[in-house]
Amino acid sequence: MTQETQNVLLSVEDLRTWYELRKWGFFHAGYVKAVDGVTFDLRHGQAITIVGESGSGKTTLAKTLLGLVPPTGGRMDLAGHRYDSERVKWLRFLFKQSERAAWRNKRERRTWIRAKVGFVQQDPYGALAPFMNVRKILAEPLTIHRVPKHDQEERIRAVMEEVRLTPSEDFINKYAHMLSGGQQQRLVIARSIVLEPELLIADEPVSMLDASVRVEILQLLRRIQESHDLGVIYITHDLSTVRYFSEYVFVMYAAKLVEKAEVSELIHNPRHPYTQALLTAISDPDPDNARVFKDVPKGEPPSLAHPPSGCRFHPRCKRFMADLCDVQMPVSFEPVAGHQVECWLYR
Amino acid sequence: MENLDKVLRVEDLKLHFRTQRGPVQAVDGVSFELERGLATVVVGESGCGKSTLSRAILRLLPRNIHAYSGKVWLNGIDIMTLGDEQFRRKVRWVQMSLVPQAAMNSLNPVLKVGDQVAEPFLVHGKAANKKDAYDQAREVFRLVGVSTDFLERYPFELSGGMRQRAVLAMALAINPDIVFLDEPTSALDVLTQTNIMNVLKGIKRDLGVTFVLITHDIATSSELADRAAVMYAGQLVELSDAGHFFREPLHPYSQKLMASVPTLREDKELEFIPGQPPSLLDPPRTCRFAERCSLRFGKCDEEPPFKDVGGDRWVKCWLHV
Ligand SMILES: Nc1ncnc2c1ncn2[C@@H]1O[C@H](COP(=O)(O)OP(=O)(O)OP(=O)(O)O)[C@@H](O)[C@H]1O
Ligand SMILES: Nc1ncnc2c1ncn2[C@@H]1O[C@H](COP(=O)(O)OP(=O)(O)OP(=O)(O)O)[C@@H](O)[C@H]1O
Ligand code: SF4
Ligand SMILES: [Mg+2]
Ligand SMILES: [Mg+2]
Repeated sequence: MTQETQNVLLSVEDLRTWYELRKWGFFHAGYVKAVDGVTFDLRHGQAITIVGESGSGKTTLAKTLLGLVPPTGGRMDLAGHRYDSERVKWLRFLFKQSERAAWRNKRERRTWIRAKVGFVQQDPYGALAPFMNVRKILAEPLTIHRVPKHDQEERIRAVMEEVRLTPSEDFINKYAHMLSGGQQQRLVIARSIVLEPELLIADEPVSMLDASVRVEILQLLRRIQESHDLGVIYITHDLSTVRYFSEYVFVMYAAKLVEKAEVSELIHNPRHPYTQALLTAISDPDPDNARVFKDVPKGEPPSLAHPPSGCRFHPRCKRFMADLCDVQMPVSFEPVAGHQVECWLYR
Repeated sequence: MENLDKVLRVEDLKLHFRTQRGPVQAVDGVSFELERGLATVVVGESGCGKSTLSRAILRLLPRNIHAYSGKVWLNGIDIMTLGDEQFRRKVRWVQMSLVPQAAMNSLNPVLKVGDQVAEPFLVHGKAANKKDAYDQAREVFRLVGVSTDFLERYPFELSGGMRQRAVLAMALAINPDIVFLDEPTSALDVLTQTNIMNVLKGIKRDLGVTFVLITHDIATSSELADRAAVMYAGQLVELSDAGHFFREPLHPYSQKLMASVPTLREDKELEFIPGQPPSLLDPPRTCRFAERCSLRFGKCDEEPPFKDVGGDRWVKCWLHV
């Protein structure tokens, strides 16, 4: 093994997660291909951003990585443990043989993943149980992972300190609804790191918050990432927050990662026509914006149950090449080192 | 005759809600004017009263009203004195309309989109019959960039972006002077958002509609803004032309708010505003921003006036008196 591969925390290859559609709750009626051929590596202590529009499959990807949704195909290696669709089939087989054995396996796997991977889920208001106070919310994962009671309190105070829910006495007995949106989100982050995971997946951690609080939470996540040398996958629909958080960014469109590059490279030299459109569309606050009409593609993102043939962006693409883009799915090209793009323009 | 180009004038508008814990002062003494044909954006944090302000002006009130007062002149006529029936017949949808927050989910699911867009023409006597109403509906559909095939469809058959345009079409139907848009693009993806902003810019330019765009998204607000109003804890704290506002906001809150907006191209240090806005149940009698303001001084213990500081700018801050 080279130094490079040894350093990999998470390796994902050709990952697919399809939801089965059923007619009348019974007959197979096709698939929603929510994640469809995703490949990437994440090193220990590396922060990456996945940016994509609503419905592009970001949450499904996160849930697959967390073992909450089984992959349909491909494989992922997390901290030396492999989990692939073959194994799922094997589990399903077992499931028929002995329901309890499989259940235990699944449960063990999830418990193991929980300890390795922290998760900040998309909806901060739905994420916290209303009948638990801060202490209970933070103690729960510790209890599940059998951390002795007398160590729990110390750990709880430490994470509260870390997310600045301080002085901790003021907050520890409060219920979630007594906290502001920003404080709730800090609590969710505290819970996600209480087991000292190696990887943190944050799914739209700031999109429900006001701009004035958003920055605070992003800076907090960044500080935690750096001080713990934590691998972080930050999921967002808002490209303008990316440069404040990570060095590397993946652009997701219709279940695929269509472009992967360093943040400043992506912002200054976007290659994929979709990324280019996205950058044109995003405005910085500037009074001159009101005077110009922006040239962006019409239409809407495609249905994932019936994605377009070939390149999924081709129906909206200005640089579309007939008989190629509409026929063949583009493969990954690397026009400059470290910058990958799935578009036939770079063949 | 300077009043002619002021399509709307609002003076000391208040709307307080009755709740179990006491009156919520959601809109508390708001005054401003709208210039005909210009777009004003209203920005501010969640819960500061933006939606309530639009509802107070359009008299779309819930039942738990504690106080509702102030003056509103529309085209020079005091509409607060109109009876409800008059208001419905002459003002709402006719001279002023609203695209409410999350409107695209409020379309009637069992009615064809075309019927819903055609309805205002019939209700307000602008169409002789159904066919005529449909023809006019087709016209507004073109205006907002929706294929007229969609008239025959049901809301669930339309994407979010298309539904939002349909709702916009309904608001524009009777050709009102003022259209209030409450977070019209916030649930949509970036490219669709941009396309809808293009549509709004076109309508403003071609039809001279006066828009009031309510949003918490400051970057997107700059896409339409001729003027910008900042709301904090139920009150306006700044009103400026967009050019000045986006380059050098005056109120300390506007400055902080602007400093918290991430920018894609410019590498600026982001700031956040410590603390939280005050409760609207019992807002402080000081400047409402004082507790979070880094420039606070002695005078700030009293409420500052919303003052004309020259150059078409109003600011509610003792630093600008
Ligand atoms: N359990 C499910 N069964 C069937 N389809 C699903 C399921 N969950 C999600 N989907 C579909 O999969 C696609 C991707 O959804 P996902 O939630 O992963 O997107 P997302 O990028 O996280 O979107 P958002 O930005 O809105 O959170 C969507 O078309 C969605 O409707
Ligand atoms: N019918 C009501 N009864 C009591 N309180 C209300 C009512 N409607 C709104 N409020 C309160 O009034 C305040 C202002 O609400 P409003 O919806 O106008 O805020 P907003 O600025 O539009 O926020 P957002 O950006 O979240 O839409 C909030 O504190 C809200 O909880
Ligand atoms: S592959 Fe073709 S259609 Fe797809 S983005 Fe590139 S040029 Fe456009
Ligand atoms: Mg999601
Ligand atoms: Mg609102």
